[in-house]
Amino acid sequence: MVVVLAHVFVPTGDIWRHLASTVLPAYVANSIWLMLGVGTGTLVIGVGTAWLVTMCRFPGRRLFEWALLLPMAVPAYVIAYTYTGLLDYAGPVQESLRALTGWGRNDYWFPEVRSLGGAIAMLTLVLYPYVYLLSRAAFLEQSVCVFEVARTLGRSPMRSFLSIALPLARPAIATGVALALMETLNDFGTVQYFAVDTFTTGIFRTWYGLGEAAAAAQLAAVLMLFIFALVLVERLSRGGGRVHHTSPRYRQLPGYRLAGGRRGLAFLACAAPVTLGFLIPGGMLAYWAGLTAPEMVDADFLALALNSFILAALAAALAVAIAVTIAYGQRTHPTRLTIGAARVAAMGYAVPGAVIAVGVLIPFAWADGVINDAARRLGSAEPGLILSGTIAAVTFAYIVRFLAVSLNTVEASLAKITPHMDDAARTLGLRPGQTLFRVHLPIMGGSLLTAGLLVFVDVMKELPATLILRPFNFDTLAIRTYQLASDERLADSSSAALAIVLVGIVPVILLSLAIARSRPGTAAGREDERP
Amino acid sequence: MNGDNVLEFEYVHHAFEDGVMVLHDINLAIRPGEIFCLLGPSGCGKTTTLRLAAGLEECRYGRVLINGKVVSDGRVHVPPEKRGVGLVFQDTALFPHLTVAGNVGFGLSALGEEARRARVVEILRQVGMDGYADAYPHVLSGGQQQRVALARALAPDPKLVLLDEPFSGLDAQLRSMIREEMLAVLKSQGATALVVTHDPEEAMYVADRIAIMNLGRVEQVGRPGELYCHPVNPFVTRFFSSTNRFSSRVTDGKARTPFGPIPAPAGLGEDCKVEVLIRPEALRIGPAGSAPRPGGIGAVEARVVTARMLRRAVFMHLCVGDFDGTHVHFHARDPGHHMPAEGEMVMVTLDPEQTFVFKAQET
Repeated sequence: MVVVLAHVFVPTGDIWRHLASTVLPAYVANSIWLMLGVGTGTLVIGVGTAWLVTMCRFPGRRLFEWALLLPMAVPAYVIAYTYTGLLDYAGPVQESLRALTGWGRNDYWFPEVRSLGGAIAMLTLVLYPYVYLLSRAAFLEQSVCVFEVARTLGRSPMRSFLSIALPLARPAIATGVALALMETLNDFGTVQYFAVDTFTTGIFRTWYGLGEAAAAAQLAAVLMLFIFALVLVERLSRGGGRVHHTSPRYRQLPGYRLAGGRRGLAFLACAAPVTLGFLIPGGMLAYWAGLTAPEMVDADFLALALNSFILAALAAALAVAIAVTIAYGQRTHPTRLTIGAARVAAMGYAVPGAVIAVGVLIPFAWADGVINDAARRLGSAEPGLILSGTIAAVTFAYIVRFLAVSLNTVEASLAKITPHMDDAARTLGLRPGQTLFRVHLPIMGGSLLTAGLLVFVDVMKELPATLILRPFNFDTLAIRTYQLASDERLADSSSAALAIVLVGIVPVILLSLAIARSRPGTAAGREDERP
Repeated sequence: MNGDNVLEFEYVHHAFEDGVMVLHDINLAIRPGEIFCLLGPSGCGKTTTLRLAAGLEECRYGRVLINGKVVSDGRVHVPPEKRGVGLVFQDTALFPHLTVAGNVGFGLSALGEEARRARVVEILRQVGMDGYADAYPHVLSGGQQQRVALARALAPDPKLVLLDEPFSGLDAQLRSMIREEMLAVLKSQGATALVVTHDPEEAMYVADRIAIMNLGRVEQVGRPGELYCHPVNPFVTRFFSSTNRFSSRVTDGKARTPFGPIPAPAGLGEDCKVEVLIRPEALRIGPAGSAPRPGGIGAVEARVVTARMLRRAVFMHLCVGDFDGTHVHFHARDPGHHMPAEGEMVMVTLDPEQTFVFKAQET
């Protein structure tokens, strides 16, 4: 990040002027439209479905509670490829339409998937779970008492929702939308494929097409302005709206029983996002994979899978180890330095992968140059690109980007260990380091695994940073999906895409289990209660 | 400085990292086998004192000694794991990933496998939890968890057991039972214990001696009876029970009260301002016109404003005519079950043993 900012001031003269006069306005406009569209879409779908499954009773509610999270497992670029395959001129939908009606090529209008609107739809379908997840958690946290008070004061259920639940959940909803928008800005695969020029595609093109590292870094810096604005808005909405739950009483949520017609509507409202965001693309992938897998899944494919696995496992293990170090440092020595380090580390998640890639590559390449120069002077063979040309660079980028994921999980589980347990262990004869190994790590074991898994899956799906930083000829499943899709071999890409989606389901399962356990007052959350 | 004491605090001052002073000039000496209570309202510094004893806070000014050895004096700081103290918390802080036996055996790593198992069994039997060795903490009730926490602290046979509000997490009925059990276990082990509590009744029940603390200072140290019957200042008096409190002046070495003059502490000059505290139990109630109770002073008519039957006494609001013609409101607690009607006149005498006169504090 620092590197990116430093390059803002490197003179690039003509290139930058050229960029600024030609493509920059388009980048800005496209990014803003994307953010507006995705922001509105995820807000409506996420909050609406969260409210329905949390507060209302209708058939299929328990299923939707976790099914609504499923689209999270689908990377945006994968859903973009599938819908393109499904809906473009040669796709099955338009073909059957033509077969049914006998229309020719120019006889009808059909929405173009590969457009800005299409990109908004694709991103909304896979990103709304962020909003759903956080607003649902906020609704669950709210004490039912405040609703009962609102009801006794004469509010209808709907009015209670608007005047009580929504304001109380506002910070969580804002965070959810902010996360979705950060992912939107991070997206590379979808916008690139749909030819919607945004900053990420611009960075990539400037870097490879024009070979202008400094200009790419400057684009990255402008993109960071957007991110900072988002972070700021999110912080502000959280700080100003800090709510304390005044009533500690929790009971079963009211569960409004919906009447016939409304039940159907509620069912449809929840079924639509799941179907569009997961079932259709998942089904499409499975169908294609069934057709092409026999020739696509070969030794090469397994080598790719192994590459993906090695990268993801390595990054996950390192991210968890670093997160434990930071979180533990914060606990034992809560100084400004350790707390600041944790906050800075957590910022990485907001930074788009393309920006991180640029920020990592520039200093690593410089360091390689220095090392090779030194080696040459010493008369030995040049070691080559030992940093920028190996998986060291890409692993480092993953850790910068995903450390926040593991850090949050580790911090949360460490916070659950009361300081009294530390004290008890100390008086029973353990040194601080022994306390870590004999008390903290065993208690946190599950959470560490979760943290590692989350990073693992994120790395599996990651595209832009991998694309820029991977060593020569070192491909992963995500890269293969991207390459085949770019060559319009959508069906051939499905095996790799399906593998990514299947791995992506793991954290969805983990998340829904964690939510089920988290609500205070439910049986699962109160293991300590026994007569 | 007596080598026989298990725990000593000498001139200990303590400030938190933000510079707020929380302890002023603490001097305490706890004898072997003694159960010693730190009693005071929340924020008085009692828990900090306990944490200093455990070594969880570092003592910067003054000295802390365990068995006559300096463990903390601003230069030396013996870490908690080397002090040989046991610690029990209100929230029990049992390790959730270990069984009861694992928790109790946690501090016994110096022992061999065999000896450790024997010790765990022995100590669990003493706290009445021998059937639960393989259970995990979350399946135990609050009282059972507290017993395991005590067993865990006692297992390594510490020189000193520190208990921080050990009973306040339990509901009232369970509390008195667990309190009695734990007291018996501590006594049978011959353990020396420092108990922190905010509940005067609890302190009086479990403690051999009590140090009552307020605003980071020790106000008075003594046996429960001493503190209750001979409090040295209004704070101590009022901490042990509610009181009727009013200011007055000294005449002829006595403080004036609506019940007549009562002896004031020696050395107070004529017309010196004093604070008079009268416990509700000190007001003895008889039918109007009856003879004063023997040993009591006064014998004043009072009007009953309200009377409420509580479990062990009748609680009354009384209106008593003062010497200057005004009326003073008093609370009285009369043992027995005689309920006077509201508005009825009764005869009130005062028990001087439960009436305390202190020089008024300059404010």
